[in-house]
Amino acid sequence: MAHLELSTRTSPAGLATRRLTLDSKQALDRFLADVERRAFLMARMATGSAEEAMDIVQDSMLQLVRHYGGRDESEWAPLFHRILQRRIYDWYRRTRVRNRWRHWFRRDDDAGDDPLEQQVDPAAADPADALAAERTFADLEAAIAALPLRQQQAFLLRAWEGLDTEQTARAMGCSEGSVKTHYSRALQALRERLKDYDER
Amino acid sequence: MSEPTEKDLREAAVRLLRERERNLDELTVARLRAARRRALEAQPGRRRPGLAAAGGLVAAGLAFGLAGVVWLQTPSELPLPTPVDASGADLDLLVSESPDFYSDLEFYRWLASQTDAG
Repeated sequence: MAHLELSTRTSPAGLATRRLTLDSKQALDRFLADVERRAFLMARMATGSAEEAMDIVQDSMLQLVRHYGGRDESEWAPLFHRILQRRIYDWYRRTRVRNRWRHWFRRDDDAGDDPLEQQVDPAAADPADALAAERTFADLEAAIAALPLRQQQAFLLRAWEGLDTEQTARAMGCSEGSVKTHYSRALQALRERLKDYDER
Repeated sequence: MSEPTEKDLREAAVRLLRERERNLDELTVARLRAARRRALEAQPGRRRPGLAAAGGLVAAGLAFGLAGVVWLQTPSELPLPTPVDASGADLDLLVSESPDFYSDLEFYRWLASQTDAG
């Protein structure tokens, strides 16, 4: 995969005058066709919902084309992942607000935890329900899905997309140090969780 | 059994990804393809008219909010970014939400750097 010098400067005035040429449209089509399934899987793992994931991916593709379609091809991957991760982050924020209102009206205790650090994905179902042949994949998928969002993002961008620390930091909109921390914690959590599965 | 290494986990994750990609149901694949087609019909820099006005209002609100924060906080309370630090990358996302906000934001960043230098 070719990613990655991400320019952080843009010119809205320039963007407004750009239009996709046939060549760039074909290149964008190829790029999106290559990335769309992984993006969907990533979003579904984060949200636990195929519908939410579809909306997130669709919107991310639209935003990329609309705002960065005229950019150099080498910039699309990091920009797309940045938009995608931002969309997933927005979903968590909305979910957090919604859950707070629910807690308020139900008068349940609101732990006040940051969902980015604490929320366990609803897709993290009991892997015991998975088919036997799927056991290993289901265990790993459940373990990844159960990671806090930032750890999950760091792990998937590194493992699935093959981004290095700097590129992951750009995609996640945080420092390289934060990426290292999230990634390290993700690895440790996965080790612990998969060890638990293995011992069952 | 010993704990899996980083290499083990990454390789297993890639195998999982390939397996899940391969087994995505046809309906999802078709919906992704349709979403891609719709996205490609969009033109760079073109925004929906109804959103333009709303985006302007949101941008103005954000601008005033940011100005308020910068104005009220002392430099020791609010570490301000240098013009070329990593926070510049965040501008891309702001631009994607509201391109018109970019010029205003540039101004407030300049104002903040002037305050910081002062």
